Amino acid sequence: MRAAWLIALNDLRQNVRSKSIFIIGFVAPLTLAFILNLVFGDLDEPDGGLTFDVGLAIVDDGPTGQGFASVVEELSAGGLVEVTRFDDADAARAAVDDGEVSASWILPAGLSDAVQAGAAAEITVVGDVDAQTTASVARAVADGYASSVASGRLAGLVAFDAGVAGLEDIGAIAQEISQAPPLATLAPIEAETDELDSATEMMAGMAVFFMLFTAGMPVLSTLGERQQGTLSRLLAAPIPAAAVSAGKTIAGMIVSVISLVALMLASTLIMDTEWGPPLGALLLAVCAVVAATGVMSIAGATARTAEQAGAAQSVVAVSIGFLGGTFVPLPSSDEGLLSVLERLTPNQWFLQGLEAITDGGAADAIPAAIALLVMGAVTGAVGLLLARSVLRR
Amino acid sequence: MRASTRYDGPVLEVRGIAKRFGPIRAVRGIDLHVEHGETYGLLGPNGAGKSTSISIIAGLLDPDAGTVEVAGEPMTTRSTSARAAIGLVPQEIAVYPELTARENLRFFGRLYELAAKKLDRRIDEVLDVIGLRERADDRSSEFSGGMKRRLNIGIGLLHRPQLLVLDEPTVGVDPQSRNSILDSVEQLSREGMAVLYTTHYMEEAERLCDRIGIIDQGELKAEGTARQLTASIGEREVLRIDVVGSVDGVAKQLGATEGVASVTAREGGFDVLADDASALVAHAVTLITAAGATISSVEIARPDLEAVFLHVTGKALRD
Repeated sequence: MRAAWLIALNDLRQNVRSKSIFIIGFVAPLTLAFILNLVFGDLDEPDGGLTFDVGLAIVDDGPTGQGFASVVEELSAGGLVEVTRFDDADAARAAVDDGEVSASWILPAGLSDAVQAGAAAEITVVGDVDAQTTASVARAVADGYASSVASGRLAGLVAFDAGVAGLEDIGAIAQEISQAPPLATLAPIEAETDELDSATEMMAGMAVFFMLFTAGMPVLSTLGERQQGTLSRLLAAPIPAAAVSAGKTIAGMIVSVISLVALMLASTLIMDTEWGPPLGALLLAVCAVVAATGVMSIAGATARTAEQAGAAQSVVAVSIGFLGGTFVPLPSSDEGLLSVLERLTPNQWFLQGLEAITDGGAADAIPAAIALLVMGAVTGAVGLLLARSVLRR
Repeated sequence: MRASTRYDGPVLEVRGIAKRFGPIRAVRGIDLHVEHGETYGLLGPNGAGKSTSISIIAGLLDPDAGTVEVAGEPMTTRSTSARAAIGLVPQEIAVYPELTARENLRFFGRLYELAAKKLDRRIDEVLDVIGLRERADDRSSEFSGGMKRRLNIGIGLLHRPQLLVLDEPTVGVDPQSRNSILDSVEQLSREGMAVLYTTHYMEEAERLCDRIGIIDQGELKAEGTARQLTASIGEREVLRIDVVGSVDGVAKQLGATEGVASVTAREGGFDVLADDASALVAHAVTLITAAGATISSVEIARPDLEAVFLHVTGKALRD
């Protein structure tokens, strides 16, 4: 075991000196985390992170205009829209043209009178062609309000037909109904399941994906030593050949654990990811490294050069990334080939373990940790058998 | 310190080793032994089986047949005690480029379980032997090819092996570094270390080796001191002719000439082993001229290892 540690420390020292390990283990994943944070960083904010900038010009001074104003105020308070008030329709249109706002609502003069008289009434929505989403949202809000006004007017007509209201009351009834609170509202649903938030899930997938590359180090390092001639020197030393494999595996696992944990900590700081109880997360990280090391030892074992092994490991890492849902979410199903393959990836068990500890405690990591260790033991045993041929080839 | 106790018998005893790689029989039943303080040269062209033999002797490969004993201990890919008695200097420059000379020596010294204080002292001694004391703390990636070669040898010496195995240690080095390496090997031999030295440079074998084994096509074709080997071909001489142009069929005609032991066609000429080379010159010139080629030089050499190799294998050493 002493020889294995000597070889491991020697590998670590060289990796630190060559700086290659910093790039694959830290710089690349952290850079990607930073970019992902810029792109998707607000996904899990309470307001959904989406705010539409809309102008509002209420020239109508009647109850219909006031009713729309109160609806917009509610939307603004909920964070969906950021409203800029304008005094007239021209100013609201000009603001859209100038790009000051992406869309504007214009409630013309006499709108309330028209509603009360049962005449044609119109809310104008002006949208920027380059901001279709905001224009659509503005239109939907206006349509919704117009529908409620129309419903109110219909209710007034029904009341008039029934003889419970006079013709002059129809407008007032319509106004009252349009401003009444809805019978039912859709409130945001707080997640009650044990799913990770999207930022954590994304980072967990990415962290394991990059960790697969550092987990491939033992095979690459062995083949690299063979190419530079030092492997024969190690094998000629009075140590068991297994010490060489063990030393390289120890070095690779140390780098992988440090890389994975560093990425978890960094993403916690810059992306507010939540990994659950630290002890459980650390246990899962170590077990994921064991599994990944085993899988990647098989991936490169048939290669004759470090370059061939690197290429083979890249293919396996990307395949595992896809199957583990790192890049695109997979359809949820408990049956079928895809589901079986999914369960054969370290990514999937790592995510599953994180979900369990996020909802529960550190002890809930144990089932996933065991699965990862079994995966590491099986693939590692095959990898060790193949490594013997790498050493003596 | 992980080293075997001194064994009074031969430091290296190789009996009938053979190794096959698929259809290729790389080594075909080689026997040799090396005594304490003896430098044994394994002389042969590229692909003769030298490196495969070295790999078996150093415990990197298991032979298909035969046995190897180092300092009385059987050598296999699993034996560790026999390996402690060997210092291997591979043909490749087997050093870590990111480490300094001292760090390279310290790492391998620890693998041989040299105690820390002894190791530091021994590292300084070895740095002196290989002439790298001044550059001990520079990374080996900054070294010249010759300096890397010397460090390569230094690592093999570190644990004071009973047998130092040098596999083509001077390939690709400048004349000054080569001379330095040969001086070091001579010094080690004088100090009583047994050396197994493979090379395809005849001059190195003649200068360094107490005994020489000529290896070709995986077989040990001849063995003895340089004097014994040259004597084995009698008073024959070597006629070396360099030509320009086509000489098809000339080698066969020369070979059929009386007094010619063997003819080897090489790139740009012939090497002819003959009883009386001087008497053969006129006939050779006639044949070559008739074939339409031009002679650029003619040389008659006294018997040397090159001639021995030609005689034993039927081809030139550098083929």
